[in-house]
This record gives sequence, structure tokens and C-alpha cells, in this order.
Amino acid sequence: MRYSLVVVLVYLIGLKVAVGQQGGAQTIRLAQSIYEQGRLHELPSLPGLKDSEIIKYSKSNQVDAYRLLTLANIYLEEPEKADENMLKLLKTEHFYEPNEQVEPAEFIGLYKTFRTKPVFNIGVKFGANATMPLLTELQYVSVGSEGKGKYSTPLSIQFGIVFEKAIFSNSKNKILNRLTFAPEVLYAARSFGYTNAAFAGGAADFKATIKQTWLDFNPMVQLKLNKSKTLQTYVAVGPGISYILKGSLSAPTYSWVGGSVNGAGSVNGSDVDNTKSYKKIVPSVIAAAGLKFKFGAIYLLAEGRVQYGLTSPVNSSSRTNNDSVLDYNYTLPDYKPLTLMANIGFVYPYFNPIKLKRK
Amino acid sequence: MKGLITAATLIFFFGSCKESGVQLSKPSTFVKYFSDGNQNEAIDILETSDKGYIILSHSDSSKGVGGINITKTDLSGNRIWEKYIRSASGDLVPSNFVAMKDISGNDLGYVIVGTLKYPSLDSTELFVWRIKNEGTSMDSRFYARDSSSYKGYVIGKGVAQSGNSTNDIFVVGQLLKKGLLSGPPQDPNGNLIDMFFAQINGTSLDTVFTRKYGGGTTNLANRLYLDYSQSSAYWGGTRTDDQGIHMRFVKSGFNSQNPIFDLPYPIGDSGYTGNDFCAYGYGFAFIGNHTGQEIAVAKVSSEGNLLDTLKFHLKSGLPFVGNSICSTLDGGLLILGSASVDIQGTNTDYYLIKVDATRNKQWEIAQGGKYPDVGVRVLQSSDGGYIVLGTTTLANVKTVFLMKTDSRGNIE
Repeated sequence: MRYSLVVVLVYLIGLKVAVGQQGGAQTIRLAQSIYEQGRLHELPSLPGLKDSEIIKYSKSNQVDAYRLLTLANIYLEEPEKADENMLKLLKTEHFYEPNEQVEPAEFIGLYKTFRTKPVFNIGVKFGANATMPLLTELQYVSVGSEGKGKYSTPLSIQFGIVFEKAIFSNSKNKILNRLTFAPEVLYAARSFGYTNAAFAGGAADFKATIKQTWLDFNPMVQLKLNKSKTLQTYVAVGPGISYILKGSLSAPTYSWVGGSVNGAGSVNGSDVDNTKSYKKIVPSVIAAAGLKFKFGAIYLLAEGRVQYGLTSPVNSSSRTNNDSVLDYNYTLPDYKPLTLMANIGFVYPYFNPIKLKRK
Repeated sequence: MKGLITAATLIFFFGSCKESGVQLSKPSTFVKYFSDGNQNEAIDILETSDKGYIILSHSDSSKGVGGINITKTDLSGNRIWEKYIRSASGDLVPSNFVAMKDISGNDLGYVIVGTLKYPSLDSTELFVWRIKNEGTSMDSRFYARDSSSYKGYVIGKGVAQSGNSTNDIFVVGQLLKKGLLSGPPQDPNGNLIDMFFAQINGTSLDTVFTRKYGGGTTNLANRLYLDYSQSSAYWGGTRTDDQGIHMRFVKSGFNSQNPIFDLPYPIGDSGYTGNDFCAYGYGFAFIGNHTGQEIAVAKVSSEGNLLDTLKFHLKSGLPFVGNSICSTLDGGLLILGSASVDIQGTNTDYYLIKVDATRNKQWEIAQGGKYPDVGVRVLQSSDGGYIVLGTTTLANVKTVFLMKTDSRGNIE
């Protein structure tokens, strides 16, 4: 019984939509014909072109209806009504762009008197990164191991939110009007692996993963490389400010593998929290390139970036972590992190079309 | 072209991070561990004339033929060189060393005193081994190999070098009967003879004199001091006799029949050991234990008067062992102990206590991992920081621990 009711409901909704679309299409065809015959004064009063009726049409038919009404208002010299209908058109379809090859110049001129670009974009990003520590000064505890460590780059994840706003959208400068301020806040895990088979003069080896989680604030600036609303490409640069949330020496293992001591074993245990060994805030610079692809009301995005730490994240005045140093003979080196990062996500453009004031 | 750039970037990215060729840090505080893969025990440390450090340690291989490891570091604990001294006939166990200096105070080399143990014979010899300041061996000599009428075997303990014309060497040791575990030998009158004192010609390494003193069973600290006039020597440790267990302080003239004094501390109480002592003001300061539960410190004058005693215990009530002591530039003392962390005694930490000149405790700090950390030596470096030498057992293997702290005992 319940299944039957659902089927009937779906059918009725579909029928209503179909009828609405069909009705809208006929009205639009009729209105287009009247417009082409030059009987413009008949359009505003044409049955089916009242607001209460237009809103029942499909989105494309609504756009066509408001377009014809706007054109009629322009030629009937009803500027206020033209503005009103253009605004309705733009609110119906945020991504509407007049075809400059076809539309009358007056229509295009009117279009340009409205704010047609998004007020801002907001979205989410997530992806993976690989961090390589570029060593600046070697720190070590187990004498003989210095200079013999090896690093690996396991993948870590990041995710966060991004806000985008064109900052000089009305500028006539071709560079400035393509700039977008794009600050973002990311929760980023970064890690690198470390192994050294020369601990205790080669009698022991050590391995661990150095993990950190950061809250990154990146006030980036994007430069759009094209003007397409469908597929946008951009490059971005900006500073980054990373705030340490947690640092740890993960899965540390110190194993005696050489020597001649009977009963020599290994030291391992739970992760060592070494958050205090890091600076609270680490500055960096970021360069990125990406693209946004319009998908319905949102843009899907994909980007790659390089982030380079300007200082070592390790706090030299509190580097030594007792558990790390005294149980595993490991201490953090001074390094500048170089991170390769790939993100995907989406941004939702928020439109609020209004009539621009004349300057 | 894009692929080439991408490949180059990735090669740079993954190939750019390696340790080789990266500059070593020069931290003002540090922790370093030294190991040759065998059981290594820290013995002694000196600050060298170039402001670095030289570490004396013992390596005990499972084959029973151990020897001396000597490691020279710079002021930041980075190893400059490491030398090994081994003997085919036995285990060379060092106890103490001092620097040989020129008139400008530069290190010319080092004199090591210790014991050659013959496992198969249950016998020992005191040895003196001299090395140059770059670690190469100069000469060596073995002494008192069961040659006395007392049938005593000597364990080398402390060494000092005089400033006389031949830069003679003084050594102190303790005497054991054959078998090494059966206590001191007796003289023909039945008196216990437990201490050995000798002067060795600094040019030839020939013995100038040897003396044997006694009074009980001793366990001497690895130290020997000469007085300012270089006419007498001080040593000490623990004395066990029918009066109980006491700190022991001995002063003896050179080649004298009897010591000037041989005193137990404190009078009227028992259960005190003397594990180390240092020059302090015009006298000395001893560190040891009282009943194995608390650290005991005794300040004594150069004439043997007990000036002051201090005791320190853990709030947990667990055993607290006094290992080493040094005087500080501000007139105070720095005490190195080993603090038990668990009741089973499987985890001990290094423990530093700073006391000012008026016996007030200024600060204390524990440093240690989850395994046994046993303090061996503490000294103040010329920059005001503190050097701690110890032995840490890491997964059943003993390693040499070196820590440099700031003037508050902290490591950066």
C-alpha cells in the first residue's frame, strides 16, 4: 500500500513538472514569435508570462521568458521594468551570460549594469600530501649514526574550508580584475619516515614515523588564467601560517641487531607525544595551480601545490623530548618542510545580483 | 617538456633529503649515547683544554675480553675520535684518569689507572696507561702482580699527577685476596691490609714507592687528590669494620709508614657509604648513601674535620643512590644521584640536585627514560653548564650516556 502511494505521488509530481515544462515551452515559443513579429507591447500581457506562472516553468524556460520580457521592456522604453526583469533573470540563472553575437547591444548593455559575478565562493578541499624534510642542521643522539639516516615520504591527508572573493572585479586592469582573495583553513597532517641502521655504531637500528598535525591558515591569492565560467584555471600564491596541533614520534623502534651481547633486545612502545618540541607557529610560502569545473550550482576543483616552510618547525629551545631521546636515542633535526599537496573539492558560488550604481 | 620538469621536480623532491653532508649542530646542551655494540660502562670524564670532553669507558664483550674505550668529543658532544685499548691476556677495566698538561695548561695526554683482570686466574694487576692527546698509546705498566708477601691483588682506583720534575704519577688501589671476592689480605700480624698507594716515576714508569694500609674492608672511590704542597695525598670511599659501614677519608704522606689519618664518617651513626668525593673549598665533599634509601653528603676539612652533612630522599620513599659530586663556580655543590622510579628497581633516572654555598637546595631535576639510568660522574663545564656521565641500559645493553645541561639542569 505504502509502495503504491509513493509510486502515485512520484507520477503526479512528474506529470505536474512535465505539464509545466510543456506549457512553458509553448508559451515561450508563442512569445518568441510575437517578439520576432515586433508586437512587443503584447508580450507583458501575454497569458503565461506573469511571475506567478513563469516560476512554474523549467529553469531554461524561465530564463527565456524573463529575457523576452526584458527585451520588450527595453524597446518599449520601460527601463525600470527592464531592470526588474533582468534582475529576475539573473536570480533565476546565476551563470547566465548573453550571447554577444546575437543579443541586441541594448540588452548586453543592460546586463553589464548588474552584478553578475558571485559575491564570494565558499567550499571544501581535501587531499593528500607528501612532506620531505630539507635538513638544515643535523641533530643526533646516538653517536655514530650522524649522517646516516634515511627519509621516506608517506602520504598524509589534509582537509578544510576555503573562501574566495574577487577583490578587484570591477577594475579595468586586466591583471587586477582576475585576482581572487582565497583564504583557507586546513587541517593538515604531515609526516615523514626515518630509519637509521647506524645507531650504537651500527649495532642497532632505529625507525619511526615523525607525524604532525597542523591547522593551516593560508591567505592565498588566485590569478584566473581564463574568463570561462565553465572551466576556470588558475594559479595561486600566498603565505601560509601553520599552528601545531600535535606532534608525535609514531611507532618508534630501537633494535639491537649487531654486537655480541646476549639478551640484547629492542625498545618499542606507544607513540611519543613530542608536541612541545615544535614551534607553535611556522610560516611558509605556497604556490599552487588548479582548475574549477562547473557542475550544476557548484564548481568542482582540483589543484596541486608546493608549500615550503620558511623556518624549521622544531623549537630549538625545547627540542629534547625525554621519552624520544632517552628511550629511543632520537631527536628531531632542524629542517625546512617541503610539502607537495594535491587537493580536490568543490566551491559553492554565492550570487546576489543587484543593479550596480553608476559611478 | 612538462614531463621532464615534473620528473626533475620529483627527483629533486625525493632525492634532496639526506643526512650526509648536512652540517652537524653545535648545541650548548645535548644528550649523546656512545656504544660499540658491547656492554659499555661509563667510567670517567674530563673537560679537555680545548673545551671538549674526553670519556673513559669500559667495553665488556661477551667473550670476556673487554677493554678501554676512550672517546674525545667537541664541546657539543660531537665525536672527534674514539680509541680502543685491549689486552690479549685479560680484561682491562679502567677506573680513573687525569690529564697531563704543559705549563700553559694544554692537555698533552692522559694517564689512565685501572685493573687488568685475569678471569682464569682470579687475579688482578693495577695498570697505568698513558695516551697522547690524540688518543694514541704512549706507554703502560702493570704493578703489584701478587708480588708482595701479603699475597694481595690490587684493584686500581684513583690516579693523580704531581708537578715535580719528572711529573710523577700517584695511584691508589684496593687490595683483595686471591679469588677477588674474599676480602682483603692480612699482614703477618693478622691486620687487614685493604689499600694500596704508590708513586710512579713519570719518566720511566718505575715504582718510586709502594705502601699498603689497612684497617677494615674498603671500597674506594675512583679518585685521588694531592694537596697543594704536593706532599700528601687524599683518597676515600667506604669502610666496613666492626663499627659498621662508614664513609672513609684517608690522608697519607708520600712513602709514610702509616697514613696521616684514616677516618670514618659520621661518628656515632652507621650505614653510610662513600661513592665519590670532590675538592670543595679548602676541603672535600663526599657523596654516598645512608641505608641505601637516601643520599648522604659530608663536607670535611683537609684535616679531616667533619664540617656538615646533608641528606636527600625521594618523596616516594624509593631507593635514592648518590653517585657523584662536584663543586661549582658559585661555591655550591652539584649532586648526581640515581633515583628509583618503580619499586622493582627496573627503572632509575638520573637525578641532579644543586646546593648553594649555604647548604640550601636551589633546584633538582630528574632526567631519564624507562630503563635503568645510573649516574657515574658529574662536573661543571667552563661555560657554567653541567656535564653528566652515566650508564643507561637500553634493551639489556649498557650504553654510555653523556648529557650537558644548562646552569639549571635543563636540556634544550
